[in-house]
Amino acid sequence: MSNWEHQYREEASAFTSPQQLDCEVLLQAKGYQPKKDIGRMLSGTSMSCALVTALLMLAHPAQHLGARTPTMTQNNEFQLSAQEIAQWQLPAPEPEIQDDPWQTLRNQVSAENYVALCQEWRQQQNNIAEQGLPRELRKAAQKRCRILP
Amino acid sequence: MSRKAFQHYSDERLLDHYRESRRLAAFEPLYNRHKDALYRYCIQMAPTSTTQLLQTLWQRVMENPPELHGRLFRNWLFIQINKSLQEQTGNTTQPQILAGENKVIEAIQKLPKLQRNVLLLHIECKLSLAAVADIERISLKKCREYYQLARQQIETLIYGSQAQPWQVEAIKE
Repeated sequence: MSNWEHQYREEASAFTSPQQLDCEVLLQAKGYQPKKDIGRMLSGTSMSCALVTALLMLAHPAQHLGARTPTMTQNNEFQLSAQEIAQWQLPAPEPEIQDDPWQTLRNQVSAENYVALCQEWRQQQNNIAEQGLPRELRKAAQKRCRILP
Repeated sequence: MSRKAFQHYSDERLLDHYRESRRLAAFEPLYNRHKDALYRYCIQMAPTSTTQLLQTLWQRVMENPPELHGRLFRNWLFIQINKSLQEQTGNTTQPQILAGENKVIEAIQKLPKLQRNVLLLHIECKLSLAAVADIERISLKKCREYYQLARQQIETLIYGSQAQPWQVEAIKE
């Protein structure tokens, strides 16, 4: 850079953009509104809608009052419960568990003691027995007991 | 995004951001970076209409931020202001503020308009001579010649004409 160029820089540095011009331009720039970002706006709207819905669902009185329908007033509910009391009946007694009459005989058969079984079987064959043998005992008797003539 | 973050952005990135957002925070650094160079250039080329020209230029940037297509924003600014200057012809009034003790600036003012423009675009606006040649629509060779000529003329105006070789006249008796 030559001498006169240095001198030019010094002289020119005194000339700067006037403040009035700067103010006017920047004031004009302030007047231009930022472009609205539709995507962001939609996203914001949907978020706020979701938030309001969630809040409504959490804060709705139905959450605390057991979701009463409008017709379910307290009087109505009282009448219904009175009817239920009037119609109430004692529950039917549960059937008693009866002892198995063949249990002893079954135990003996499972212990491979067939004497009592065969005795019962003979009685049945001779039409003396009061009750017929159960199926599995009858099969076991047919296998093990001989019918004497 | 904060204003400080914008300070590190290039002109072109700032302009892209401004085009998208129209935020003052993006425009302000752009304006501050170029306002003085533009003012110095304008006031030496068309002193009486500098303010009006600059206002119109910046208004254009604000209203319709330019698509640069790979050009530098700085170059775009000076191309546009040059176009506006060329539309204003016949206004050659010299401002009072440029006179006085500013010897070099006075010398520049005495140059023909084309040489003055080439010189200022190169030394003040920091545009390459190729860019200046494009703006003036002349060849690069011609542009270099104008630039060199302008420099020589300034040197002559400031330091006087080059020293001539001594000529000793013979004393007649």
